[in-house]
Amino acid sequence: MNNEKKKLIIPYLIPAMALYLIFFIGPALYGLWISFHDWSGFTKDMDFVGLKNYLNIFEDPIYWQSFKNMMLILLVGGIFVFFIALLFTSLMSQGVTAKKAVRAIIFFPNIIAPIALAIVWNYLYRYDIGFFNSVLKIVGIDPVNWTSPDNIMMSAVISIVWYSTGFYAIILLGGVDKIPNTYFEAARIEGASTFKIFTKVTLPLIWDVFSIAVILWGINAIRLFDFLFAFGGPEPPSRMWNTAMYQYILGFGQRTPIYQLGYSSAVALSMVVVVLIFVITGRKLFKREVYEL
Amino acid sequence: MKTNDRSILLVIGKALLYIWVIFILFVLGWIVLASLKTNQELFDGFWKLPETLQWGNYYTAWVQSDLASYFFNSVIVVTVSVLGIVLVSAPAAYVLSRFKFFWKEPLTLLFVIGIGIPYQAVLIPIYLLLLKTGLINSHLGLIIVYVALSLPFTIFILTGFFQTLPAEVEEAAAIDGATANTVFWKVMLPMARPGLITVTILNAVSLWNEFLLAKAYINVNDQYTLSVGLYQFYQSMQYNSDWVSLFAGVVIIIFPILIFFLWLSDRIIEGMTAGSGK
Repeated sequence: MNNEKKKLIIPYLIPAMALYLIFFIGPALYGLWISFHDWSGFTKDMDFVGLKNYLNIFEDPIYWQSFKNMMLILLVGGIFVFFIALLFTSLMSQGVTAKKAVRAIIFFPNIIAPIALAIVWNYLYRYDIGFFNSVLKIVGIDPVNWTSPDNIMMSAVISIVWYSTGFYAIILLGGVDKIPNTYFEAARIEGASTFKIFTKVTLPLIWDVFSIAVILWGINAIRLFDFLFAFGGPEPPSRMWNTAMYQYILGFGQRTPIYQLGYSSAVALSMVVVVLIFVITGRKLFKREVYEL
Repeated sequence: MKTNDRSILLVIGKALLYIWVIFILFVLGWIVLASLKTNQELFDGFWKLPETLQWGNYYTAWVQSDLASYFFNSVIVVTVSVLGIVLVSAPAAYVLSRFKFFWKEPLTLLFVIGIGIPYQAVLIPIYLLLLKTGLINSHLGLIIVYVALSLPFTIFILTGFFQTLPAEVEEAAAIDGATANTVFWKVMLPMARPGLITVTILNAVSLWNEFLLAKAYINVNDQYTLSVGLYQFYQSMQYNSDWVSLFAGVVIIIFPILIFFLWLSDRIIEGMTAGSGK
């Protein structure tokens, strides 16, 4: 590499590095520092309390409730997202009518603003004049209170699955479309059934894409905030908070601000840990011989 | 018998796929219809059709509820942010992908780490930083944060793109006497166009819909972005139940994305799934 080219390294890297360090890595480290303190944000001084905030997490029932909801989205939501996504992928890879249109339509909900989705879904779930109860009425079933504190989390997960699935289906389909057609033809000539072709040919060949999609889902599901926050209405009941919502509410308050910046930061870092654990175990679980095309 | 069972499964699966598709179209259509009803018609029942189309709802949402200013706030914030993201990321990605130097690997890794850090971990510290620098409640502050937080993913994708470009063109241009700087702007950048378009689309869509950071850092009414403005409008439904105008607002936030999608759906789908397909 010539010297003239070498001179570019620093000026080309500096804007990105500076912004990234000052507005991302620096704050992340400062957040770690805050998490060792008691601080309302109003006073100048932070009280150093060591690991107290982290120990408090273990005795905080609201935290564990929020953790449960985070896991509900991650695991239960995830199972449905990938079950449906795989089903759609296997169907679409064998050809469906208007494949391109189908692909575009199932993808689209994923790029709608989550706030808009929350408003609409809340309305579809309305007890009196919502979509679901109006359908139940036609069939002759008693209406369900979809957004009662008991049911709201389940309803939220249904909506999240609805708007997320298309995205993951299309990631998987992208993997399937790369497989040469001859593979499928060969399997079909051998007399393999649709189901067999999918489990023995398609799935092993897209395993790589599948594992990346699952990890992507994990990161997105753990930090999911906007849809749930808006879906909960003006004052979301604490039973439907996930950890991201709890963290926000601890730091920025709901109607009545709580402002526990130290504790909020510790909660945020617990989320980083969950992401880490998910990514690491995910990679371990998915690690296996990858079939190269 | 077995084959029969399976073909039944296939039929059920296909039926589910088409119901899924139809339901999405139905929901989108219903939103548009709801935004054109009167509030009375909306409350008369889910299936009630509007007698005359109430375009006035859009006027109420756009003008009286100020979604127009939020809309333009969003347009400015998203446009400037995306330009900033590309301008800052492209040179960095170029250096990280096509140069050899000691710090290359650790720096690349440092950027990759950012992809896995949820925004929650920096939410409060960045708030304090913006407060200290007087950038809180300003579009400039939000833009800087958007650019900084979008860097890891953008650089990751662009690095992949630059790596695929052939070295010959770069060398030929250098032999022709072009400076390294010119080679980048005049030769490499145009060649990386598909990658640049991908990251532009990716960031434009996600920033248009972004809510958490905009909500946390902008607390002045006239500076709201569209998603925050729409959220506040939704909150006001407890006092003023003008639901039809709210649905007009929902259409307003979806509409640009829909147009964009109808125009470029292949590109958008490719772009948004590109990062995972590799």
